[in-house]
Amino acid sequence: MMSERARILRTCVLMVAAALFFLFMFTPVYWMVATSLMTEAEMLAVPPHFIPQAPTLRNYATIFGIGDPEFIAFAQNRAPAVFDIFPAMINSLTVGLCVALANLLVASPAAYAFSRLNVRRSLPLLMVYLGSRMLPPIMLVVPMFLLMRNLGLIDTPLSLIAAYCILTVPFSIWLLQAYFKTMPVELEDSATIDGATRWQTMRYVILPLARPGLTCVAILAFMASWSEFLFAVVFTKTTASKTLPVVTASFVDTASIQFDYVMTAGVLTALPPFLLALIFQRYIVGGLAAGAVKG
Amino acid sequence: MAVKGDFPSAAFAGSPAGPQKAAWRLSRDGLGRGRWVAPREPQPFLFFVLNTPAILLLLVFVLYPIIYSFLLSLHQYNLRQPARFQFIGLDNYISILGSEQFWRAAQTTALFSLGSITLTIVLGTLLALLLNEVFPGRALLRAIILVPWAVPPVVNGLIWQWLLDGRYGLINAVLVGAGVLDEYRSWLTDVNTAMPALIVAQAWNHIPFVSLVVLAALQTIPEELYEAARMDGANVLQRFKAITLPWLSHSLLLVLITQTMVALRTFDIIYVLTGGGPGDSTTVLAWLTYVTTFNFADFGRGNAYAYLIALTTLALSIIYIRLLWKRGELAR
Repeated sequence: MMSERARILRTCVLMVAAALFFLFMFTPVYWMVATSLMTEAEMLAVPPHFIPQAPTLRNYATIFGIGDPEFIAFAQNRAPAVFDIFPAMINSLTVGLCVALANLLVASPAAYAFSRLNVRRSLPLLMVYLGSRMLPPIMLVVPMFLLMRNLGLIDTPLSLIAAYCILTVPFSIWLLQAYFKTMPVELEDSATIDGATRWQTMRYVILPLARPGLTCVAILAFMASWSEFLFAVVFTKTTASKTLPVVTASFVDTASIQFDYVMTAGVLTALPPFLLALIFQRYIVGGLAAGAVKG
Repeated sequence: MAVKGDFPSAAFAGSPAGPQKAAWRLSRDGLGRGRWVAPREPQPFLFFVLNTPAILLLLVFVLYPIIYSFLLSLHQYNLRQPARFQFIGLDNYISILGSEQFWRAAQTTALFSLGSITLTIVLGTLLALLLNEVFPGRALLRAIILVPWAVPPVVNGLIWQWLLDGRYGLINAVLVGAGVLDEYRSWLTDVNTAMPALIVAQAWNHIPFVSLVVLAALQTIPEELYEAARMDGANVLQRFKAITLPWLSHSLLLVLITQTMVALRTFDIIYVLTGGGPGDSTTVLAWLTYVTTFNFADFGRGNAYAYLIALTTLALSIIYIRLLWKRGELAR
């Protein structure tokens, strides 16, 4: 149909476009990783070394307090916030896991109720859930800050867990109810016919079948909590509760240029979401498609 | 009540002549065995029980803040002058709507939103169209686009700050090396370039989401449509306009909605990239709200700002939903 020449031309055009997109999408991340492997001196080279000449993991080691004590003391002097990164990772991990778990516990019963219990006029409640997600967080953060302050929860991970549940649970309900609706009712029917109780149906039929949907919801909730910044910067004050984005952003406030550490912290902040996205690519894309396209 | 699995003749015989609510139906299991099952009765009580945790969460952390925030916006309430706390009605709103600062920020927000949404959706759709074609390297590019999607907004801002750095930045080096620029420029402290930089950084972070959603929709288009159009002699552009674009309209509208919400609430990358500056050239409403509330400790005025943003968001949502409704996309 297509002449050989036209086919080659088409492939060339496509590959040029692909190369341009590749450069645009990939260069920023490459440059972050490359800078994190540079020494301070090499980072400040003009013009910059596009490929690090003597890549070193020293920036990473310093963050975890490993390596030459003299260099660590120097880093402490130059960028004290470097040593907040490790505790912040622990905080971020704690908050993210708690939020993911809370999402599963709160959202899956609600979503199941919407998709299976045949209650008429349940749509308005679903719309209220969805609507709460459309509220700009900047509107919730001020009164929530005062609420948390009155409860004495400022500067604790608990305040962030509560805030992130509000930001993620409505979306999880929305996504999961769409997901439950795609699961055939007949399987539950036949379990019931075979004499399974409601609990057994739940435990042995629904939960195993819904695992991809539940995984997607948990991962998206974790990623959202891990990356969130506005609530984190307002609610946290010390290393007791500061999360990774807050510590990473705090480098910018100081006068001297320390992009070697900023980029190292950046890699550590971006790595978990990236790995999750890569490993669970199919679940996430499927879930997003179910939530965004069909829902 | 008939035994489950039996043909429900007894149930039918006993039922009154009135309109039946729900009929028994034949359900087939995986092996094709058919059984009659009872009509599914609505279970409002269980529905309520299963929704209780979510409703409680909403009441405490959404409804209460909304009401409390509104009440605060009607007060003079500055943490630096706690003694001056008093009810002032709509004065905060009146003074905000009369201030030049607010309208400047509204303009800046509109500029940022329009710019970033357009760039994100156009490039995202182009990327999706590209990924829908077959060419060497497609799998690699598909994997790569997940990278910016996974980068947290704060890190996104920091990366671009480093790329655009006035003394050591990679972008300066490339542009000077290629002969486009004579000397290094300080992109983020220049009133003319700070906003475009912000828009590009925002687009970079959000293009993958648009691409994934559009690509999912592209893959549902039946190939026969294109074949038929080709037979009729339609060229690439005509096929795009007649088949692809209409088929994508639903996804594009949804992407438009999500991207508008995202643009209006953008805060993180502004915090790390420009801090609202230089001057107030990147001071969007969300940033102004944050600064008013937490830097100047003016909680009354800050809450009034927050309410104005929420109302804008609400108005836009209503417009979008009506658009969708008119097109019959939501009326299912």
